[in-house]
Amino acid sequence: MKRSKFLQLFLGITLFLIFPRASAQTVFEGQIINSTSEAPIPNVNIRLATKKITATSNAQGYFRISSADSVVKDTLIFSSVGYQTLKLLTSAYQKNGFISLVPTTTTLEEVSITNEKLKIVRLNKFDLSDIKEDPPGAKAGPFPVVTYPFSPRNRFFAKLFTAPQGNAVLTRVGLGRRELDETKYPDKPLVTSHIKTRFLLHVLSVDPKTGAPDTLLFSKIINLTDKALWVELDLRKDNIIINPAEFYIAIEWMHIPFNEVIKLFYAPKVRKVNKKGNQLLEDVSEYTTLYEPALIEYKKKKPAVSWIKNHENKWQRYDSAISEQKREIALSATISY
Amino acid sequence: MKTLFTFLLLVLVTRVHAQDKLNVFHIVDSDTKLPIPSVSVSIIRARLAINTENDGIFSIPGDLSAMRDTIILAAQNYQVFKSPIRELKGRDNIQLARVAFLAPPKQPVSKPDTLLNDFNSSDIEHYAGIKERATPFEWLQLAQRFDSPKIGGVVKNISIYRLVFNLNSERQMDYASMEYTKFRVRIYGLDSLTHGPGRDLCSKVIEAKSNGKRHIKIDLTNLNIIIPDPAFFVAVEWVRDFHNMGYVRLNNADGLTMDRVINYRPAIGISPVKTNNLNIWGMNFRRAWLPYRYFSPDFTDLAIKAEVSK
Repeated sequence: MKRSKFLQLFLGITLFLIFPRASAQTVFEGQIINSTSEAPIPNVNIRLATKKITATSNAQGYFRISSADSVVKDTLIFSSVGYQTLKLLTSAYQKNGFISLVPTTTTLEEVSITNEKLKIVRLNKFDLSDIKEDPPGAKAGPFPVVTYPFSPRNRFFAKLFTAPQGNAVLTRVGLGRRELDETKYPDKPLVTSHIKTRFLLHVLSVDPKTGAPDTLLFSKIINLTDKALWVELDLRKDNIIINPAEFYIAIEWMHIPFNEVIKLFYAPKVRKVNKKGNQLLEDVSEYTTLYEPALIEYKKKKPAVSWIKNHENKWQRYDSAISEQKREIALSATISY
Repeated sequence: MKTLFTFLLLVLVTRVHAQDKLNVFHIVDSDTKLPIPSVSVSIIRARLAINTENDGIFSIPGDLSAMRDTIILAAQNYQVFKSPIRELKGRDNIQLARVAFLAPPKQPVSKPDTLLNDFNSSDIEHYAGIKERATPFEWLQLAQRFDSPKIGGVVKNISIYRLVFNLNSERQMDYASMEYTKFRVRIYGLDSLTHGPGRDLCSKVIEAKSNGKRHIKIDLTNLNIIIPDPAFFVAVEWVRDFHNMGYVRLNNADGLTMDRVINYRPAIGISPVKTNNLNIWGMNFRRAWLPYRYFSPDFTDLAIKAEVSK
């Protein structure tokens, strides 16, 4: 009997060592950006050299490529027309990081003069360094990257944009979006994964009396389907002409099941009451529902004017939750005029 | 003690005064007179539902003759008991009659299998079973519909994915004990009228327990569950007892205050794969099966897989 059990154990261990675990899978994902302009690059070809697995980056420059093997000793090759090919050892890959490709031709940034009359300007621009998360294990400040608004009470956020002149065409909106990563922030409350999200993007006029957001000029439902930190919304086909030089861009959160994120807290529950009437407590789960998207708030000396809607559905000036630091939500607008 | 505790909470909800009489009931098998464990107790208008512990005891505080509500008691393999609460006055036990179950003849399980409702489990982002301010979770069971690859096939195993948080640090390990859950699994045939879940296909109580596991795989090979209809259902039945009791935090409209209300584990995953039809059904507190539309139209299926013999 004992021998039989020993044989079973021996066989079990041998099989465990011989066969790799079927569930183990390695996923490489991240966002590919232009090293000069820091703009996301779509349609980049990504290839695992030895495994011969390929993928293409999406409109946000986001890619996801997976191998069935648990440990992949391979090379990731990123290639795209107009950029130098990048070879990255999988051992050097950082989870959900940015991959920078060097352009082979010079591209202009911020102000591009495409012809004598048309100018392109990115307003309230943020940089990669503003939204980039610290690598795992790095010593960050007390508030490395803050996520806003990750609270079920917030529905509207609006930021003021000032163009050099009126009658501009809004062509793009940039967003910094973040997923809370439990491995990087082990002491934070836990939240469920949340990649897909849907929200409303609004363009509003400025109330001349209060300076608050006023009349709705444009509205569009936006769907995001990946973990890209830097989101570029292409609005060129929407033909948005904004007459005044000042305008607001607002995000409206949709409190729908699609956007639900579950956050775990804990709360005491009475387990027993002894004869003296004293309660013995135990901690149990306490869930709360939040709604995507979570936007990135970064440090800025002179933040742009921003507003939120309060519980009475009235606009009020927005100040960062961290009052001792000046911060701004990563939201930019590209216009042409 | 736990049962009394649970009903003390009900006292708070129903606003019955604590000094009122506590009416204690024993739910027993009508033949054996033995207690029936984990009976589902629903009080309809009050929108309350709990499960008894193994002793089959529950209690209602207050004057029963003054109550204008209906109580429903249900347990697997027993006839459902439904009565106005006031008619329970003067009783201390309720007997449930067993339902005859005609077990199908034992069928050999063939080797080729079909995996139904497959998806990538790492893509699950949504979970059913958590109360929301606007939508309370008032379902006793949620069922996933599967199209049978073959009438007469055997259900071999099922995989259920539930909400569990990944624990990475020592501090987060404190959360581990909070992840405990147990629930029951029911297998139903197709109701030809409603096209929802019909009769039980298994008389054995299938109880699933999980401490920190997200994926719960249950081997059903020995239970001889034969599919008699073009479709069948796998349901999660919540055990709304003390052990599964946790909370949800509901934020009030002012954005500053919140309420803490009872919520029962587990939360069951929603499949990331959208199909052409809504395949989730829910049993409400009246024990009626209805399509569960909360995640519709974005999602159509529960994160439950089933493997059946071809």
